Amino acid sequence: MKIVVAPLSNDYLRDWPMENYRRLVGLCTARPETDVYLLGAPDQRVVMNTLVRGTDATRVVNLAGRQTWRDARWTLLEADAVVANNSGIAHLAARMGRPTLCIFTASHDPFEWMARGPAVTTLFTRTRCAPCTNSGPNGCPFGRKCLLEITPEIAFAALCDLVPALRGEASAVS
Amino acid sequence: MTDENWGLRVGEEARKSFSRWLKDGFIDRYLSGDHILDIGYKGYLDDVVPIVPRATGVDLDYPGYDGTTLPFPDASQDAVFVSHTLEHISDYRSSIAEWFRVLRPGGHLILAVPHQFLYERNLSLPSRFNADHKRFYTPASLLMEVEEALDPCSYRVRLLEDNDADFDYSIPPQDHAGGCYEILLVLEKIPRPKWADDLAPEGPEERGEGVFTVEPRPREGEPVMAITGGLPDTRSILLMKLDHRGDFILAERPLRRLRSSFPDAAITLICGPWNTAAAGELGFFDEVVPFSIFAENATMNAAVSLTERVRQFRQLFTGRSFDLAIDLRVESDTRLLLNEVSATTKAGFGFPGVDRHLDIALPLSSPTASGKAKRGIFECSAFSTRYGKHHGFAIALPRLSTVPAGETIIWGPYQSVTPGAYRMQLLLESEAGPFQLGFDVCHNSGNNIIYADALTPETAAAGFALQVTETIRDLEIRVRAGNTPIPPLRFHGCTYQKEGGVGGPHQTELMMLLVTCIEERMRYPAGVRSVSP
Repeated sequence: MKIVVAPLSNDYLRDWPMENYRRLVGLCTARPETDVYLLGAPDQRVVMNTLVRGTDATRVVNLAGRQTWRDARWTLLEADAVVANNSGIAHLAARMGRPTLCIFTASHDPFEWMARGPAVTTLFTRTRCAPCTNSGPNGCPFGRKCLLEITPEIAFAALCDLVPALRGEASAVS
Repeated sequence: MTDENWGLRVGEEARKSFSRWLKDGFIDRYLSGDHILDIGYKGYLDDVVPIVPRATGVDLDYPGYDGTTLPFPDASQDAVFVSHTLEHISDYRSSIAEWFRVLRPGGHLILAVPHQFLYERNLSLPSRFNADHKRFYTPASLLMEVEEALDPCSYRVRLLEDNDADFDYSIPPQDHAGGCYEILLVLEKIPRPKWADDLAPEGPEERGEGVFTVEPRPREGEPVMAITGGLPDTRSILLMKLDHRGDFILAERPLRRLRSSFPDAAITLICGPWNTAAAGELGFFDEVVPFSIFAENATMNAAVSLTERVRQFRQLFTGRSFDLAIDLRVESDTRLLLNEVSATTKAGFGFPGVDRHLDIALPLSSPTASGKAKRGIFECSAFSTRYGKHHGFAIALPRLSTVPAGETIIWGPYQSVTPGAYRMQLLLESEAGPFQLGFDVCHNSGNNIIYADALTPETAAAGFALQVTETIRDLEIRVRAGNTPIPPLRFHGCTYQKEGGVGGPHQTELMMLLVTCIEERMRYPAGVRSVSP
């Protein structure tokens, strides 16, 4: 099974912490024959190396900077599931009909901005400060609480709901 | 000892460079110390020695070595030499990390791999000369693997070179290369600087410079929600268009659009009895139900209570349920009927979070209603002064000759105003001759001034025009002293007249927008649920 993960968006406030992605990738690759492909832009490669460091190079592949946006479509087309923040990859994957898990910071209203497609799950928390429309590393005085509430375990469970084969059951998503 | 004779017996590839390395100090610089490993030193030969006499040769038959994990403690080695081995390893990341683990700070990791454009001379796998080569290397791709495997703060690159010593460039690509054809990379392990931890991928510390008026909820009871979309399954639609004859005509194009958006759904239209014939002429409703919540002609309204009408409506659809119920009337007075319908999704004009019975709420109102003309007065009682007497209905100021120019003498009314074009007039009269004052209009606690002018008997009588472009919660008018003595004055407040808005979306456009909104939403309808553990 091929899981595509795009762990970085173009804004710090939208990025689920890399530590959470690392744990999620670990939960995915703990399943036999489940490999993870990381998508990102060239200037995101160094940060994404921190995610792959310590993982098996044959199971977790850092494609950041090695594919154009057009190439990424092919990678997404072959994906059994896609995990991303509120980012372009999430929208692209959703529109292509791939099962997509979108981890959505509460800076923006998910009902307005979420990716749409036939198999999309958007995770979010409704903190009192949301939506704030803020951005950047100084944008949140509350430690990105709205993102941190979404744990890797919650995300993995939602991913399994989206792609039951990941849990070991027969896939309900064609 | 390390001499040229030793070099004749080292691994096949290292053998070609050994003499040069001995002379140019490579071996002294990078392969000195008592603890050196030569990983995969034998290659395809048997009678081979490790790279230097003090080195331990590690191959798959070395006790405790499983091909990945080395049976040596962390930071135990002065150098690790790995020649023409990495290209045979699938999980390059784990192997590089493991070789680096056993190095002491100051120690060197020496990697040699076949060069894609010296050895392979091919653009992509497979290798013509060694079917076990897992990857082709250029200096960039080799460094890319190193950067994936190792923290960039933990090493320095001391040497990176294309080693083509004695390489025979005349040999065509299909024949095995001659001479040296490798990339040589030397890393020195360095003590990781203290600041390396500050370079966390999560970015800088949260510094909390944002402006917020609300704190996040406490952690307890804060569920994580999941919105899960699904494929559309809209098979039955109840469509309400309880409106006049003309309104029904205006709805024709939105109704056609709805029909084509849901070609397979059974659509039940509910409309005034006077419009059933027009609905029949359209010819695409599966069922038309006549119902009047109000009369065809308002002047002939029958004396039946709204409660009774709602009861009758409820009876019409008792026992029925729909996938989708839509109220297509722009005015809000029929929306309460949606409460009486059983439907999975309810849609209409309204405000999300306010019209809670609407699952799809389009927050657009009739331009006529929102652009309604208004007139009124900000009463004197909403203004204040510190110089005269406040009678409630009027402020009376005595003759004032010592008030500094610019000083505010009357202020108020701190009222809300909605966007629009206003005509305003300050009701200020002198009881003893002309006055030379000034005034301004502001909001946001006086910080945003949106109008300012001189205030004389003439300008007071003429009034002024005020353009309000956003909703203002604290409109403030400040009358200020001028440079001349102020005669006795009486102030009665401020009148306003808001011009009616003209233009904005047409009713058909509004309904078309609602139908488009419904169409988009129902393409991938989404349910919300808590996914907190």
